[in-house]
Amino acid sequence: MHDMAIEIRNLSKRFISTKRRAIVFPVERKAVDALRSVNLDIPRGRVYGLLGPNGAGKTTLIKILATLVIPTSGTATIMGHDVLSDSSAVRAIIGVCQGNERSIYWKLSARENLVFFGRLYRLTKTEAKERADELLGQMGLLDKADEKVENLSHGMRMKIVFARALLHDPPVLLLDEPTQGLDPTFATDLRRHVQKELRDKTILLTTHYMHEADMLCDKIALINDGEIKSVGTPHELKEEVRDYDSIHIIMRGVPDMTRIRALEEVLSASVTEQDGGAELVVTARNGYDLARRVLNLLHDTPGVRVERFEVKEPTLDDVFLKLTGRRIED
Amino acid sequence: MHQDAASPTTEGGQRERTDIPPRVLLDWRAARIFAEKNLMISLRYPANIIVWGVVPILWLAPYVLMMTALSGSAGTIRFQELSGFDDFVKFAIVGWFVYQYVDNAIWSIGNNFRWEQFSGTLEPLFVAPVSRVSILLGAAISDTVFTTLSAVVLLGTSCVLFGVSYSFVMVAPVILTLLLMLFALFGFGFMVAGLILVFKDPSVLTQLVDTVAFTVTPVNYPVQALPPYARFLAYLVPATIAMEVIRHLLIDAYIEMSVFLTSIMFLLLLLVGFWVVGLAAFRYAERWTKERGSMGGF
Repeated sequence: MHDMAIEIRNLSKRFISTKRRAIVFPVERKAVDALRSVNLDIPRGRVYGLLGPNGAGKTTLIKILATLVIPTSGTATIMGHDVLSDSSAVRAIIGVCQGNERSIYWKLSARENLVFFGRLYRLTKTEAKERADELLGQMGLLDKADEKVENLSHGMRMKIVFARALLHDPPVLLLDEPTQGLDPTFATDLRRHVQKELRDKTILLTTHYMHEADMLCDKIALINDGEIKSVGTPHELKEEVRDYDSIHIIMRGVPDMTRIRALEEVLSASVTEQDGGAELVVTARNGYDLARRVLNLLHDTPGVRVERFEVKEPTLDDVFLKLTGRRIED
Repeated sequence: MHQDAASPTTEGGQRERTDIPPRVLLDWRAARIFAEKNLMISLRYPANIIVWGVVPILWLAPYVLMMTALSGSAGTIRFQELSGFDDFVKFAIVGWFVYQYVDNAIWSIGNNFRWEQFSGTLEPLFVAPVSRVSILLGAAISDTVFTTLSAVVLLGTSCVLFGVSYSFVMVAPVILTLLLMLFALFGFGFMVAGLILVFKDPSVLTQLVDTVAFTVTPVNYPVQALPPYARFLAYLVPATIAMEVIRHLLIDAYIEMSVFLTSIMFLLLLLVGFWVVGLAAFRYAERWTKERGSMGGF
């Protein structure tokens, strides 16, 4: 039995996009490195997070493991089966959930969808029906089992997409942004399901929600521009910014960011405008000391009135910022 | 070889399902499951089924009416000399009956793939551990069920409307010929499905092939009416032989055994040829798409 459920060695993927401005012009080729020499070892029974902003390469990695994309170089194996040369074996032992509510048949009911896919995964009709009902029950959708998918809410559809990945009880799950766009209740339901029901599975979870990665993952790989920047437990990663604090200030008006960023020891500063006001987040060493200076500066800025402020422990986003110079949710 | 590492248990006593299905070219069970799903979805649009039961007769009627207006239902002496049949209406109805299947085989697999692409369900299908051929064939089978319905309605209503009748004593050879033709044309459908993976919408190309096939196959006129070089092309389309054989079986209720067996052999050869080319083209297209990561795009 393989100790590692997923082994990835020097995996790279280069996409070549072509564009022709007009029929008489030559084709312009542009190379985009979606993955650059990625190495990962994921032990059995672990929840492994892949955290990074949009376009970081998370989905490309999932698609390579799901045998939907061929890598440019390198190898990847799942339970010892190579994703290229043994792709049919790989497909039998993985469950894939992509955060796309359109990946099920809207004209079929929830149960019909699950029974159809279950049978494709070699369950008998009776087994598929039983399994579909079991999963719909776990998802709290049994009363909607015979409802056509087109009549269900976005959250319910995503739960069906999620349930489909579990139909054949695969040992490895590839979850690509499973909670993206879900309202908080549905997202919490799915996260709880992962925590309670799927602890025996090896899960590779991609997300750009830090709290999701923090909550679910035993280990996290931070990925940016196709490169793995750091790997560790959430605690180990946060140790990298142990000396930093994150100052959150809610205010009316808009701050002068140039002056704030010019302050000494500021690692980063970002502002999110909201309803005539803004939320300013400043990450820096000695947060309390810096908070005083930032508040003084805001006090002197015309039109700005601070409503409340908080100094928080650093988050994975701060780790990411330190490593890459950008925020995950940018 | 079925490697069955059934449900080993991990250290924590957890169950794991790691059954590896055998690698097969064609899994009939999966094809049937896929076809059933398509039929179920089609039945959710009942109006379409009714319309498709009626439309083919509206396509056929203008040809029959034009020909009978020009020369009566028997057609001209020239037509009788070329075709070997003395009733144009009977001749054309069989042509249209068979062409329903040709049209279906050319369009169905590709259209199904296109529909899956638009629905967003193509990638989940490609992640399932079933052979691609099973999915392709399942798509073809479901549409063939509806085509059979449509073709039978066409045959029945044509007999009533135009007052013709056929002999149905040789049904088994008719079905065998139709099946061989259909399966040969499915090979072409595989190629269209590959084109859809690559180009996303090759409907113009498919329409071109469909129109060329309609022109060179003996739907409304015998092959002998074509210029000599086009006759060669006609016999590369499995429908040509199928139409000729089925006309003899349904109109004359007789065909020489040697002619029948030669035709069946020729259809078998075309079937193998179309499948080899179709599957190779599809596999190439699948790899091409996976290298570019454009499987789910449309």
